[in-house]
Amino acid sequence: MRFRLIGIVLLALLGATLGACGRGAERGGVEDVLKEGWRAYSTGDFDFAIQKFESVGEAPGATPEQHFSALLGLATSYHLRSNPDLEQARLWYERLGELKTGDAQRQSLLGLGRVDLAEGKSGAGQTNLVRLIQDFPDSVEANEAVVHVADSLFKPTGKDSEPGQFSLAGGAAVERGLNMLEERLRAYPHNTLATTMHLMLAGKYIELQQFEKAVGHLLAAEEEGIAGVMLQSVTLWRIARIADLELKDYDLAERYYAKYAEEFPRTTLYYRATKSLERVRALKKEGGA
Amino acid sequence: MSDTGRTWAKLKRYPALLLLVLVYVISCLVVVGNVIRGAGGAPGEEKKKVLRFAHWQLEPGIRSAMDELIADYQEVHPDIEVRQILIPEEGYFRWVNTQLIGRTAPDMIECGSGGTVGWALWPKFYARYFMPLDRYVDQPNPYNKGTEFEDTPWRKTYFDEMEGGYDDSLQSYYRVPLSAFTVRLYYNKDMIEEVWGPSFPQTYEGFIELCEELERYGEEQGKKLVPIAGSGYNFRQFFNAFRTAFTADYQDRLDRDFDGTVSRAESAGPLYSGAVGMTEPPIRANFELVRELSAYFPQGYTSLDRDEAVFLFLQGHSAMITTGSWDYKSLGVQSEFTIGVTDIPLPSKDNPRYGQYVAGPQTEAGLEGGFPMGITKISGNADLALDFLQYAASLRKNEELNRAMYWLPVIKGAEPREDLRPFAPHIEGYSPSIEYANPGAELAYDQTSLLYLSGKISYEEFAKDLLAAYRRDGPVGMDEYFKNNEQTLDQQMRSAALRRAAIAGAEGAAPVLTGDSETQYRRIMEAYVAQLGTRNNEVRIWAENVRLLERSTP
Repeated sequence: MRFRLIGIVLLALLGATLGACGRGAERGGVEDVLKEGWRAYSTGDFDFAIQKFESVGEAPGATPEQHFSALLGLATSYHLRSNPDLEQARLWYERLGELKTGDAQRQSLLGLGRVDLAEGKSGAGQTNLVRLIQDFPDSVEANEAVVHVADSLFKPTGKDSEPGQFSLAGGAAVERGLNMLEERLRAYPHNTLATTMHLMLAGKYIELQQFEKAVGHLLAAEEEGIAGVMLQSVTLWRIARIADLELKDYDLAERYYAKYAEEFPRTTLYYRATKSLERVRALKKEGGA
Repeated sequence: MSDTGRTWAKLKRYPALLLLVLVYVISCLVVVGNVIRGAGGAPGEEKKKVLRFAHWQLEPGIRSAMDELIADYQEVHPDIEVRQILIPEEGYFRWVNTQLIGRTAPDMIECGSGGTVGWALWPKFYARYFMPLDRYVDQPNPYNKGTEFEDTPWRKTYFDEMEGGYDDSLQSYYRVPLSAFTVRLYYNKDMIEEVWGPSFPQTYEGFIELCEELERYGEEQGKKLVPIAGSGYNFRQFFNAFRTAFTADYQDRLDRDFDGTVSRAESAGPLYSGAVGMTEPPIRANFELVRELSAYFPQGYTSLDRDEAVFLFLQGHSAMITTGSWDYKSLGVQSEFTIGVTDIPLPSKDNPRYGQYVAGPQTEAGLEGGFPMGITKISGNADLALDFLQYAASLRKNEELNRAMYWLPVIKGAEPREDLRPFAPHIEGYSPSIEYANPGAELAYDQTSLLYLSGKISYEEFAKDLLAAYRRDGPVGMDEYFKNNEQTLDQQMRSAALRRAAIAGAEGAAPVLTGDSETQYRRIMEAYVAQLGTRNNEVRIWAENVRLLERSTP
């Protein structure tokens, strides 16, 4: 009798314990697991993120949308973790591409193209990314693909055997990159990454000392709207400085020094902008006299 | 024998089983107890919620000023208790590191200590352990109700638009700055008035004369008086003021991408090839002036630390010291003389030796808010921590807090104490345009420049040795420099991919983010291509200078 009683008490305690432990699991549906996975990704806990995303694959009730999120999470985590595993990233991007939705296809192509580039397979990477641009021309991913293709064409390469030695991108490659960005802007002048593309073009034209084109794209970027405040100030400064020192377009320089001084009085360049404004005005006066 | 006795006798035959059952029962009770407690909150929570914040500001008056702020806050929120945790600066970074990793960190932490290691690690800490504040900075601060900032986004109420809270590499706000700081020259007013007169010299020439007078005065008094309490710590403050004055005009020559700053590579490449030589007159003047000035520092000043220099000043063995506004109150409390505060004087335009190379003073227009507090992700009361920081960063309370601490407030319109006027940031001026410590040659630069400044080698020997170091250590250093910068690009891509996933509708991605995914995605991609442009420009400059050197070397 006593043994039976002890047994019942122990069973009750076991039940209570399991019930208590079970509460945590109940909270975590697939939705929460995905949230935990992306949160871990955002904080750089990639192993934990991968563990979470993998567990979604085994969850019986996961919807196709949830599988999409988990596969993208897995591929992205392997790809962009601090010690990337490009083989695994490729595998999961390929699995993602097996899903038939447009979102999955686009993310897969973008990811595979970028993995190729990261592995040094420029040709294959560019081909994948161009396929994405052709197959899904209106998409956000296509815009990003254009940026990555252009970067792969502009990128200087280091020589492992000789520290501090670099090969700069060749003229033809640079030309192709510039054309690609220009064409994208012609076809989709206000795409999500239009400002990004104008800024990229301006940077390259400055490097090539084609200052008129550079200023043209800086002005276009400004008109399109620059999301980052710091970059806004740099863009105004660049327009004014290049107009002043390279193009000798003192009207433009005056306008942009004045704009800079008015909009960014709390930056280290403010005083230089006001002094330059005085100088440019004096030059204009001299020229007009 | 009763039933109980018989059962007990049977059980006694199995002591191991008894022990096992006992341990099992205790474990079950602990688990159930924890669950019940977890549902009901931590002990004491039913009475008051406790907020803890850690900082390293042990200067006199800071703790009591914070206590006043806390008392005011608790009056408004009697259900909340706020506690300060004060950790000495020397061990602060280690302590924070341990607390964050051990997940025992307080709700709020002052961010930013740890020197070079800290500089590299804080962005990683932010990403992993701190709450991004983007969602809140564009909303009005509720504690500004009834003021001119009632409807103004919180970010816009800051004198620097909260740049001091923004992390460029992560493209997010993580910190709430509460004060601002500038560096000035402090002097023993009583002594200077006796030796020199009532007005402090405004030019470098006058300053040198004053130093001479002070030395003579010391001799007359029969004591060793060192004019300036220099140390390895505050020597850099002097040096940077003059580096700016002498190198600001290099900007147009070296800023090849026209972004308004001369990056380390833009400066390092020409120094490496010799396109910019250490023997160019402005650069030479920069070092010669500092060497001249260091004759008025204590002997072996580079091995003195900050506290030793402060001690020299407070004991009256030195008449001047450079330090930040953070020391204003503590020096005032500890000194037995009146303290004056002024700018580091520059050579006048008429100075025959240096005047023609001086562009102007160092600007402080880009000053960012300091004393920055971050909210940890493990805080169980993150919303309350945010509320407390909003209280501290509201117009009225930020003014009161900083007046009590003798620090500069960070909210527009908040008035500092009258005696802090000399610390108001200077808008006019420039920033330095040459960094002499080329990547890879930092140690060699430190050692060689100290040999020159201490008079052990001539300027020609210094320039020659430094150039040799640039050539020897530069290539590997630049490789490392470019690789490190690639990490910023990787981090930006990581952040962009998360936003892109949210835009593509990946379940669970959007709730992780604060703020609008598309705007953030655009901002990150813009910053990413700007960084790509910087990289391409820097590599090009470096490669050009490598070729230039190869061509000029027989």
